[in-house]
Amino acid sequence: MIFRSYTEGNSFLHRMNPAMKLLTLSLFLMVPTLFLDPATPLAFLLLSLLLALILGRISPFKLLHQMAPFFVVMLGICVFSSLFYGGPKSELLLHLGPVTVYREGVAFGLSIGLRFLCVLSYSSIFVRTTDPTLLASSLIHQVHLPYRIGYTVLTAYRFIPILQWELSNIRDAHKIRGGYREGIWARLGRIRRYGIPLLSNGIRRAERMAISMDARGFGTALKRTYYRPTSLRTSDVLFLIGSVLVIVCTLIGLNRFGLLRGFLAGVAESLVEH
Amino acid sequence: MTEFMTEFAIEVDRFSCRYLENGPWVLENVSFQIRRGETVLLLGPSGCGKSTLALCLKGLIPHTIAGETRGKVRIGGTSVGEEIEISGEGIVFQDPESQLIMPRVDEEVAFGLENMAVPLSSMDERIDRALSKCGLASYKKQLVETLSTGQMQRLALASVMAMQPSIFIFDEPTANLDPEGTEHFYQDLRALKGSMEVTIFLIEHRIDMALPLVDRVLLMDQNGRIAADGEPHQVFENGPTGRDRIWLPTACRLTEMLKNGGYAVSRTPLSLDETEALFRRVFPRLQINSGVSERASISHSDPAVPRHSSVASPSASTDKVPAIAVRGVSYSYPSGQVALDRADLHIDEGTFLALIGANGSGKSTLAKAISGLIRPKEGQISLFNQPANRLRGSQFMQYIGYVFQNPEHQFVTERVEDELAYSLKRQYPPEDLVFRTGELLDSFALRGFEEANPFSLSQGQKRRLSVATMVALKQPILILDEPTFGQDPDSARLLMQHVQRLHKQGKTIVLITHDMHLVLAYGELTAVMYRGRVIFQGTPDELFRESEILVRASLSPPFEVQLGQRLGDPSLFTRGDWLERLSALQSGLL
Repeated sequence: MIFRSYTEGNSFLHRMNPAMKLLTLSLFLMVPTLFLDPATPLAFLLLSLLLALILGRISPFKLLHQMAPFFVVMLGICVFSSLFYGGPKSELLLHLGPVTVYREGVAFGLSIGLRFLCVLSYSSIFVRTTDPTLLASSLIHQVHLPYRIGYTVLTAYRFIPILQWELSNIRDAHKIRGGYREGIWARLGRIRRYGIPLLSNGIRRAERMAISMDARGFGTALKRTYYRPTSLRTSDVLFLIGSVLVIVCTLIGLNRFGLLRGFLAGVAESLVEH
Repeated sequence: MTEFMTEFAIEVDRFSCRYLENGPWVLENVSFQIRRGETVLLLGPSGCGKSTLALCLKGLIPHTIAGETRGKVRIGGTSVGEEIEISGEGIVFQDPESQLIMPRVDEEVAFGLENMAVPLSSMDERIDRALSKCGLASYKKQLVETLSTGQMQRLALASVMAMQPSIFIFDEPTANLDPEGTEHFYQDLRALKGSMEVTIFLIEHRIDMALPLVDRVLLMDQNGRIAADGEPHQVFENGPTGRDRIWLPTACRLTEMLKNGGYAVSRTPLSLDETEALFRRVFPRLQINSGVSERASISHSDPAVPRHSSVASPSASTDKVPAIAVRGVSYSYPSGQVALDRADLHIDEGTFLALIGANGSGKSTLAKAISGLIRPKEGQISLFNQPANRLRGSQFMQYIGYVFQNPEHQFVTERVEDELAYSLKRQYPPEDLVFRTGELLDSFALRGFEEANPFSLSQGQKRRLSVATMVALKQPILILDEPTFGQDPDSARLLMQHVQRLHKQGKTIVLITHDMHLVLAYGELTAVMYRGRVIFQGTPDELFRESEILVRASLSPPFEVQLGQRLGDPSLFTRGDWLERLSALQSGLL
């Protein structure tokens, strides 16, 4: 489960302020979405592996392994986007009956798929190196989120394994009732059937948790202390500045080799074409 | 005036509460006072408003949960209601899992301290102290979700203890725990009582373990009124009113049977010591001759020959078909955690077997393997001599009905009648359905609820409906996972009557339970699981003689067995005819 893959460690990324890390990694994650070529997301994907290795002490293989289930999705996106590509075309690569594949189509498909992997990679670096409690703490301290909202992050984190356990239990319980069929339609039908007990128990649990929080004085006093406070350090700021520099340099480099195609430029080009 | 008021930790004065405007009063005109340092047990049938009272004492109603209140609740002399006093009273709830908030153990304890604005410098020390008091010191940096249910509840207690309240409120704290967890919890509570002056307000269903701690009992009736209030012996003396809706202490039940048998009992005993003394007084021969009870058991078989078989022995019964035969089954979860480790189990057709063991010992996993929900790669399972690995998923259903712990998990339709028909239509033609459904409705006391949504039924009804759906196809095996969980004695008894009727009709019953009283009352055989293995299989009487097995599997014998042990024969009270046997003994007939 990618959302709960936090593993303890003592790397730079582990020790970093979570809110600052969230901001910086979001920059890495967002920039490639502004360009239409496949080279930019590929470069940023490679950057993410380097970042994980050097600053997070996460082996790139581990990271790729974790993303493995999504490669299928990525491949699907690639194929689908190249087949139904409607932009400017030059070189025909493949012609099979009604199926035509152009070079630009393949490039477009790759750029979408790689972007998807890029998002995935940075997110999992973040989740892997971020203690949820410290994330909540820094959202409260550095982002100045009201603490009542900051704590919902944590309760959600506690709920995920409980819900997973409950879901597998419900699945077993229904299997025993019979009429368990494979296939996409049977699956869709089950969502609703599982949903009712899952929701009713989930709401009950959430209610109990809320009562328990109030019973221990959550939100009562004006002042609150923190067992694990977070602060912003110079190294956090330096990391942000360094990251911006790396991003800018990468973009300049890509442009030098003529690989960069701006998002706005792409839109303009396709408008001219039609 | 103020001095007089501070004598009481809790004062409730003509207090009423309801959740809905113009709705029925859940609590009505409740008045009582609790002195500082007192430990008070609140008893009452389920749904009588006990939990509501607990929430009101903490001020959670109407602060967090909407509700209308009348009258007054005073804690330590100040009125409750305007706002929640953070550290005045601490409360521990029933469900361990959903009252814990933070990911890590130490953070959980810190949560309350943070809300009290305890400075960071003194937090660590308070956390350590609370954790070590509850036996969790070595778990400080662990994730909460890796703890057992019992440990979670001890963590909930530690978190409240760290806040150092002078009043503790417990709302059925051990209802979800196994016997070991329950025992640890009461150990912690005893230590807490010994270490400082605290006032404890305890709500509990199963009270044998709680009673030794209690100074006073409050009994609430079905309508949310206080029916009795006094010293425990006094309250239980003449059988309190509404008694069939609460779990009576075992000592009381035994004494009552004694009284009904014509013996004079001057004072109802409660503790093990008192009960032992009473029995020794009434049956002096027991005292003189400690070998007497052994003589009583000789009549059954020679005690020198061990009557248990620690592994399944198919040879023991040649005339019967084994309904379930499990040989050397191992299974690990995808996480790598070993759930079953070469487990063996042999259950003859028509047997009522109680499957017991601590939380996480593999009971449910074994049941899932038997019913084909998981497919272990190692070992063999056969149902009525049919190898289970040749059965397809849907074929298991013809053999086995499996009632899950939470009945809601199994409901697939929106009407009670449809729920029954859903099971039936796999085997019966549509024209038979009305008749068959009617049959099930009648035999499980669900008539009149045909149109109801299964989710809107009472706990007892939900449970009966889930059993009904699981026997609809006349499956020869019925597995029940903690069927009496969270039920009052009345509905639990009703349910077990249904199960026993099914057993008499020839069904093989496997009952997974923590409740040793259930094991005693219904189990013909028991199997004990420990770390994924079946370490014992035999009758309950045999089990309670196996002190080594009991210790290893952390099973504490129920009150009547402990009493029997003290009187020389663990199985003295486990058979219904103990009174006749004792009186025969008394008159020298044995």
